[in-house]
Amino acid sequence: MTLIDQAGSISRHAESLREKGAIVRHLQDVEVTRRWIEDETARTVNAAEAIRGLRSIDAAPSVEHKVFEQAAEAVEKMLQGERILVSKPAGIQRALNEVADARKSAMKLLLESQSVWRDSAVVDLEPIVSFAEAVKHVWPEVHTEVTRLVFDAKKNRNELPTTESLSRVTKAIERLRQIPRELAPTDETQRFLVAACGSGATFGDLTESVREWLRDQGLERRLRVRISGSIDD
Amino acid sequence: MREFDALPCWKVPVNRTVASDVGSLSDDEHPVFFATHVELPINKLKGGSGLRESADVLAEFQSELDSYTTQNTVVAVTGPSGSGKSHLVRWIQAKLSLTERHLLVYVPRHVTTLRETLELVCGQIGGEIAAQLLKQLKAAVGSVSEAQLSGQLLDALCQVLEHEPSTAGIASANMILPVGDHSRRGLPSIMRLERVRDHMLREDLTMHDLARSILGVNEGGDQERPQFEEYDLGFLEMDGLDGALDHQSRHARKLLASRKSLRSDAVELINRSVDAAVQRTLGWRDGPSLRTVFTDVRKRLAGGQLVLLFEDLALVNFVEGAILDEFANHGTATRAPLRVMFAVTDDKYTALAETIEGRVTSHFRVETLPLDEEDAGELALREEFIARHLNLARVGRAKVLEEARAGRPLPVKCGECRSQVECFNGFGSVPIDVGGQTEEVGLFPYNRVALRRAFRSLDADRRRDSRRVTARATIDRIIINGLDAVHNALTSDSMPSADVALIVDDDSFVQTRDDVLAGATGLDASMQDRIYRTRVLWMDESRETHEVAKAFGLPDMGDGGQRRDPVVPPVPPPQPAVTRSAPDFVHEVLRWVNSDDTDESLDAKADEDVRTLLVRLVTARIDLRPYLIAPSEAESKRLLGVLLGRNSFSLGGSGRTQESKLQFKLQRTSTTYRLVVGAAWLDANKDWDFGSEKASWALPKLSENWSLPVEVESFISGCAATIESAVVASITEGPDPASVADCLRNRAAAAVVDAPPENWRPVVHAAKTVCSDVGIKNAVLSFAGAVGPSSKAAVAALDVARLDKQDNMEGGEVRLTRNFPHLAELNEKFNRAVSSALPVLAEQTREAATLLADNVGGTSLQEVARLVVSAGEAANQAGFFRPEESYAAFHEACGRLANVRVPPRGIAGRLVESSLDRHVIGDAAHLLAVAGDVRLLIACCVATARAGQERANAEAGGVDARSEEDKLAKAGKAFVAALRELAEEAKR
Repeated sequence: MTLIDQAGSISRHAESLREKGAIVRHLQDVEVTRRWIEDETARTVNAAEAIRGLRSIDAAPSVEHKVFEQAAEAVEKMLQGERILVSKPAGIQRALNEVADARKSAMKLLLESQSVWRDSAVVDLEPIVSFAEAVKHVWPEVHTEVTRLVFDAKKNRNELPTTESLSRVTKAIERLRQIPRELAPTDETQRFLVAACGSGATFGDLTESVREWLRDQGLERRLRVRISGSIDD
Repeated sequence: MREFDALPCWKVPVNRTVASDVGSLSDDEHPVFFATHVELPINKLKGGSGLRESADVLAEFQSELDSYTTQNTVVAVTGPSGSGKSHLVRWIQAKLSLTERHLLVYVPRHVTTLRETLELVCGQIGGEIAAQLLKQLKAAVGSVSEAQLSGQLLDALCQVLEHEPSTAGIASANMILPVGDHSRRGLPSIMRLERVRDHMLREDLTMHDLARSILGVNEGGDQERPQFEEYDLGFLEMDGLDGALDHQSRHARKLLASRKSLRSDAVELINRSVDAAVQRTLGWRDGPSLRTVFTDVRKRLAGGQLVLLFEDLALVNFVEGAILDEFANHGTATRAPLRVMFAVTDDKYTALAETIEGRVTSHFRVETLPLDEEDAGELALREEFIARHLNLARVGRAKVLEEARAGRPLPVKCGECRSQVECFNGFGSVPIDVGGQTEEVGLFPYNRVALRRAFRSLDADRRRDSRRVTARATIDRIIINGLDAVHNALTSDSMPSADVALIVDDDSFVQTRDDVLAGATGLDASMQDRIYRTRVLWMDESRETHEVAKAFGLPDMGDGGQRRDPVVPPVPPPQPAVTRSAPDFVHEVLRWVNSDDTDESLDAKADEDVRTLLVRLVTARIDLRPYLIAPSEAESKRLLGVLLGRNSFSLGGSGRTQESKLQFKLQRTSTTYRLVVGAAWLDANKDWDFGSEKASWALPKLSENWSLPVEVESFISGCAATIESAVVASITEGPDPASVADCLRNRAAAAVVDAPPENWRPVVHAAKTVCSDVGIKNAVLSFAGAVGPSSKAAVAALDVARLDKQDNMEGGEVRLTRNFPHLAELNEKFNRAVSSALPVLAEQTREAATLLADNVGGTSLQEVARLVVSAGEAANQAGFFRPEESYAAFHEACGRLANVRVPPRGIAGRLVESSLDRHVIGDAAHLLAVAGDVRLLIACCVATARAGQERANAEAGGVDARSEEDKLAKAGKAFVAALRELAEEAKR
């Protein structure tokens, strides 16, 4: 084989490989696009779920829906054409970008709604937290449970809500509201309890209903009376 | 038969009569001592200044003895060894006037050991304490052997080093003698080890000498006590010592073994401890010492004076410190002052200066024997010195003593001699003062010439040892050895013998032996030797007188003692207008020519000088221009250098013979001397005007000097002519060196091509060497027009040059190699390189042509290169170019081939050794370069095509495009569904 023959053979091999290389590069593009679409699909599903969750607690915002409908139509239309994604990469990219922007706006609204709802719920919990703090020397388990439930109510506040996550928060708040009543059923008993566990209750605080509640709870033996300050006072 | 009475007139051996060392004379031999006393020059250096005589020194010292001052008087007499210091002290001692006020302690030179010194000093001082000291001394050393005393001294030395070493000024003392708990360690601890002790007590080392110097008898002269030297510390190198040493001593031993400076300090520490060690050994630490003896005697002598005279203070070993300390204790009303005079050498005095300078009140220096012959006073002193000793030798010691005891003056033997007049006429005489009367003493067997030569000879020998002529050296050589040698010669009828000449000969003469011996031919060699010695050594190269001839038993030459008449030359003898003498080598050649020793070689430097001179003169005489040889060109000079050099001239067999050099032998004759004188004259003066006032030096005495120019000119011209012939013969006997050089340069120039093939590089290297070689150019420039004399002359020259004619017949290469080795070597190297490389080059060229034909065929190289580079680039882009690392070289090769000139055909056939053609070699190199590039392309293409095939096979069917697109469509549908759901939720 002469040198020229060798050169011809080499050229043919090179041409063949060039063609195969183009196909490979196309498929690589297809795969990248598919993965992007799959990711975007998951986020879109989450946004829908967030709207559902917020609606369940009456905190759902108003979200523009038309843009998603238009995007769905555009994508559907594009999928109908053969290799349309490959042949018009700029067009699909633009359409996908519009969908992404709309979805991002929606998600921002959803997060803001969740945040507003949670802040209002946590403010309502402040007296319960103070109560648990006051009685923690006598009922430390109560304090522990309150602390855990408050953490549950506050956590994941920056994540897109779901029905489930919002349900967990509402359940925690509900439980927190029950705890003081379970310990001291009336406001009177609750006041006495907070004072007695703190600097001390006055004789006036020891009303009849309180004394009855103490007897029911078997707490009489744990009560001690002490006079504070000078007798001249 | 000699006519002189009773020659020789002295008895041998002379040293029984004449003593060179005054220390060897006993006290009752003063007359012998006085018999030879002369006034030597004495300089006063302290307590005044200027020249003095012995009497002045005596008067000064006597006045101190006569005074009543209580201050000590310490007079130092110094001078070189053998100058007469001891002589002066003894003379003073003999002349001093002492009274009952004085107690004299006199220590002569012959008392040198400690034992003798103490016995003498204590004996003269007397008293109970001195007696105790002697008793103590006797107990300590009286019955011990040298070995026992050595051991005791070593123990004492260790004790001193341990407890009271003198370490002042020795920085390393604490390293050598580290301070331990109770005593110093280190060196003394090592010296106490048994093996070291055995070593130090060896008989050949200093410790033993020390014991001997206390017990034994030293051998006179200015010897000092034994000093320890570094070789005494040889034990430091012993193995296995450390195990028996404490750690401080071990460390000290290691330091001493490794540092020379520390060993030097250790020796100093030991030497400083010797006196204390000796005193410990003698028990002076607890009992009486020399110090207490002096204290006692000075107390007893209160009001008087203790007179101490030491003929040599340096010999007062081990008690020197005690004595010097005493000098510092001046007298008082209850302690007698000292009146001290001591002699010591200059060197020793310098060493003691720090200690005694302040205590010395007067310092005299005895100068060396004067040698200035121009000074009449000094010459007279020297002659009197010799005459007195000659007279003593003639009279004899017994006679001198006998006459002295009888109260008669010193006898003068010459006064009784019947041959006195004849002897004095022949040899001269010197007046000496004897008891106030002047008497003449004959200088026989010397005369003034012989004495002058003898002193010069002695002076030259002494200077070689950096010493001066002293009285002792003069007596030893000229009187004792000289008279013994003359006595032997006279009694064996061989006067003056070679032994006598050894004493008198100062190696100075101006005439050749032949000239000196003029008129004495026909005698046997032995007699000629005697006459020659007599004429040179006694007569300054003139004919001997009747008296000398008779005294020495030589034949009378019949001229009545008249000097030889000069030979009348045909031209007036030149009168030298200058007094400078001829170069040294001229004198050396004369001495060599005249030497009795037939095996003696000419002095090496003189030999070198003479040969250099002759080469210079002959070289200047050579003229190659008549043979059309350019004499100034380097190759001509080289060829001349090959044939003529210093080794071309051989003086009596001197110089190394070289095969290539022409040889001119100069025999050990007066002719050679004349030639050397003439050559030196010509070289220095450039003409033959011996009488010129501008002459560099006066022509030495030569017979018939008018013929000298002819002798020298004939010799130089003859040498030059021989060498000229040899040069021409060297050029014309073989191939013409100019042609060979020219041809070689042309061939070499043709062989140099750009970018030569690998195997041709040695040829190019050899060719470049040839082209840049100056010798090649010089060969052409030197001999391009050379013509020779007749072939007969050339062959004659070759005979002279000692070239083997048989070799000359073997061919031009041989002759070229011999005469022009550099040219021949270059020629041979280049031709060998070409012969080796050319066939290979031709074969490679053929193979390259075939390769191109097979692979390129009918297509042009440019087209092939274009196609191949295109395919290579495609393969490289596709990632299958192989070998990957060769892509750059591949690309460059393609670039070259795209622009290359097509090599012509049939190159291999035109590569012929006999006619190197630069263009053909260049084409061959080009073809090989093109073939090299094509080979690279072929290799790359084969490998790349294979790689491309493999890649194509591997990737075939590996891609499923539909599957990927389906996945995308499915994902798109899910996306659409999600979007719709979101839109629905938002709508609610």
